[in-house]
Amino acid sequence: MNILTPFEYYRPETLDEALELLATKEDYKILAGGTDLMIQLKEKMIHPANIIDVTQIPELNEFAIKDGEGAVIGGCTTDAFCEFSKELRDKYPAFSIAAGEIGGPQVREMGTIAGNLANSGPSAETPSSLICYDAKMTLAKKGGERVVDVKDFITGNRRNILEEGELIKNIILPEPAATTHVKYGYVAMRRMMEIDIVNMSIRVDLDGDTIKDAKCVMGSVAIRPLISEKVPEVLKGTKIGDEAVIAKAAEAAQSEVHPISDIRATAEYRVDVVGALVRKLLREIAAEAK
Amino acid sequence: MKNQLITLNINGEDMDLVVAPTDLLVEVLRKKAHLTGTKKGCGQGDCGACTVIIDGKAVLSCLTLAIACQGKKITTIEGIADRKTGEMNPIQKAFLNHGAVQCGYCTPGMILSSYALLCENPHPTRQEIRRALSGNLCRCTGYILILDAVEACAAEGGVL
Repeated sequence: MNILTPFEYYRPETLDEALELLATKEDYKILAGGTDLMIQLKEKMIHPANIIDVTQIPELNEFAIKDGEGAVIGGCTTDAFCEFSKELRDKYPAFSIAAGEIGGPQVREMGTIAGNLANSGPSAETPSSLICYDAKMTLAKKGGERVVDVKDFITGNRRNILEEGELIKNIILPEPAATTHVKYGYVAMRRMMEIDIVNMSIRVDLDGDTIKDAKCVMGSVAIRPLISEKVPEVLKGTKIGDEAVIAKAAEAAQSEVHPISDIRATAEYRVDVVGALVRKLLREIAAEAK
Repeated sequence: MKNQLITLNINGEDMDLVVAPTDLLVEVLRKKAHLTGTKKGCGQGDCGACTVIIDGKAVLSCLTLAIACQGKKITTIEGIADRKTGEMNPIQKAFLNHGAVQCGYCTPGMILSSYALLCENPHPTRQEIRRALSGNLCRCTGYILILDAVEACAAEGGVL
């Protein structure tokens, strides 16, 4: 009845124990929910000798959110928790909505935020909104921790900066200003249980009705989350909701993407969707800011 | 890789089982615990036929290692009827009464996803029911009678 290549299973109960295992075991994979990992094991894409299950570690299940102080989300916090947490939904709606668009309900009860980031799939739902909220992440290994920006974490298709022996301890979200608006949107074949054709988050910081600063991060259009350079340039200094500017911003985003054609969509269609999502999200922000 | 003796709490009973680290929960439930109500469909986390409840949450037993379930409470379709009398749970009765079952293969997963929803949210909207069941595929019923059954069960007093 076994269809998986044999491995040893470890379930450390403390962070120190986990980091010790990661430092000493060669050829391991971290199990942080399993909704991607188990499929990779079943498909024989990977053959690790050791599976290290980090889901029981208290530090990786911490959750703290306070008025004025942002939030700290343990790496093994489930997607479903982020979807249903009222506090996260109120303060970081784009992230909470994105977490609620991963897989189906059961997948979200199993899957974790660290897992979605560490899997580093080009169509992952959560990175774009986390990058728009200027999120950081704590990476821990035996002998020390480092804090990095989420925007620098994913480097390619299923590639990231995690070093040998290192795991994602938590995600740190700074407190957003009342004048900061972030929206997440996507287009896919169905409403549920889909993989996005394109997903996107846009952030706008307003001074009255003038755009002070902006960010646009796109998923599924490059090997890693693509941070637009041109969209902020187009938007800065303009009035929110100006249709001429919105059209220009959409064109700017379209000029930057180099998507592929695959089973889900053609490259040409993806470019169209990029423009449509920029227009949709900017209009949503304009409506919200009123 | 050695087989290990583990204890799993399934439907309120501790069961001692010999498993390999690679054994999936769905296989252990069906072949070692002989609880064949849990169905195996796609094996990829897409269809929801293998849904079980672990510590109150509906999850997929085809993507779960059995060995990772030590110390957790597992509920399968065999575990929601009244233990003493064997009387069906209200959600099971609702599925029967509304004709929400055709071939039956998706039914255990459908019922457990519905059960988990109603435990957490006893009065869901139709949209919340649709969303909670979006990870359970049914190729026969067209879903409408399933949604009706869950709605009626909630209206008639819920699952507990």
